Amino acid sequence: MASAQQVRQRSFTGVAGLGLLVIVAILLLVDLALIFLWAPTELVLGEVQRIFYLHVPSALVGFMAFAVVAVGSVGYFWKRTAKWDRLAHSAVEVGVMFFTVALISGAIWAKPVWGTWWTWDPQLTTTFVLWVVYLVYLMVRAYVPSKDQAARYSAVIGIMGFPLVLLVYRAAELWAGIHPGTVVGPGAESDALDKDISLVFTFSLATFTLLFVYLLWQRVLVHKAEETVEELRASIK
Amino acid sequence: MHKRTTVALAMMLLAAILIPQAVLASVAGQEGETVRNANLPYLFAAFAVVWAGFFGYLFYIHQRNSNLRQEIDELKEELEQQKS
Repeated sequence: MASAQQVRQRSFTGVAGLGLLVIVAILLLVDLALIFLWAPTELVLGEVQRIFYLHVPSALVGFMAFAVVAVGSVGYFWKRTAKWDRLAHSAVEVGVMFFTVALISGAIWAKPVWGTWWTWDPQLTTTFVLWVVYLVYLMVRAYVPSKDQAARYSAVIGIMGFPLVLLVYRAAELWAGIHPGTVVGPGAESDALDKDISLVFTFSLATFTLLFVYLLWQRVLVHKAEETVEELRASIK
Repeated sequence: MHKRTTVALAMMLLAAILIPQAVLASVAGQEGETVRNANLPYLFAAFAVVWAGFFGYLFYIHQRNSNLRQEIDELKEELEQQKS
């Protein structure tokens, strides 16, 4: 039986989680309306350019997730506590989900614009390599039998993988390819985006970031629950 | 609570798929827009895939959390019985 404090804590987490989910849901619907009703139609690419409002925020939130992984991995080596490992592992899973979404939406956008689903352009190739690095992280977690070893090996990948994020971010500028250069963030030109496009993009990015925060929080809770189940099973044996 | 969350997620997924579909249908009907809008199926496919991915993952997380909570309660009960 759960104690009164646990029940109170669980119901607070439930109410707060539901509240955040409702906010994210409303923002996602407003975002959809902005993308289709407010954002101007791009003159050259036409309607298909609206994929931009999903593709770029997904990729940027993926980068954000991998930055959290690096922080969690450094924290784990520094403090050696499960809290940091839990954060890093959860962020990888959510980050890979966002990055997969970015890769798939990019491929769907590439077909009508470039005439192919995929090309080994520097930006696309480095992005693919980055995605594989974090898949390897998840495989290490799944297949290394010792929990401590898995946490250590994956923390190394979490730290070593982060410089690749910066490389992917600047890949279009470093090597000439067909993928457009950076349009947002520190490396972008100030007038790279039209004012209305920029507004809708910023809203999309904020909404996706909040969705990331919600998913990360829920994934950390799942991680904690998995650990509790393991502890309880061990004490029953 | 879990059932309500599932219904809410399903409603949102439906809205996320129907809103772009309705807007695209109205745009596709306009004269002179046929060349630039020839790629509308790609736009729809991208939105459908992205939203299905987000909601699928969201649903998976909620389901997993709910199952684990239930398992924890059962294991705690078992432990209590073992002690007594």
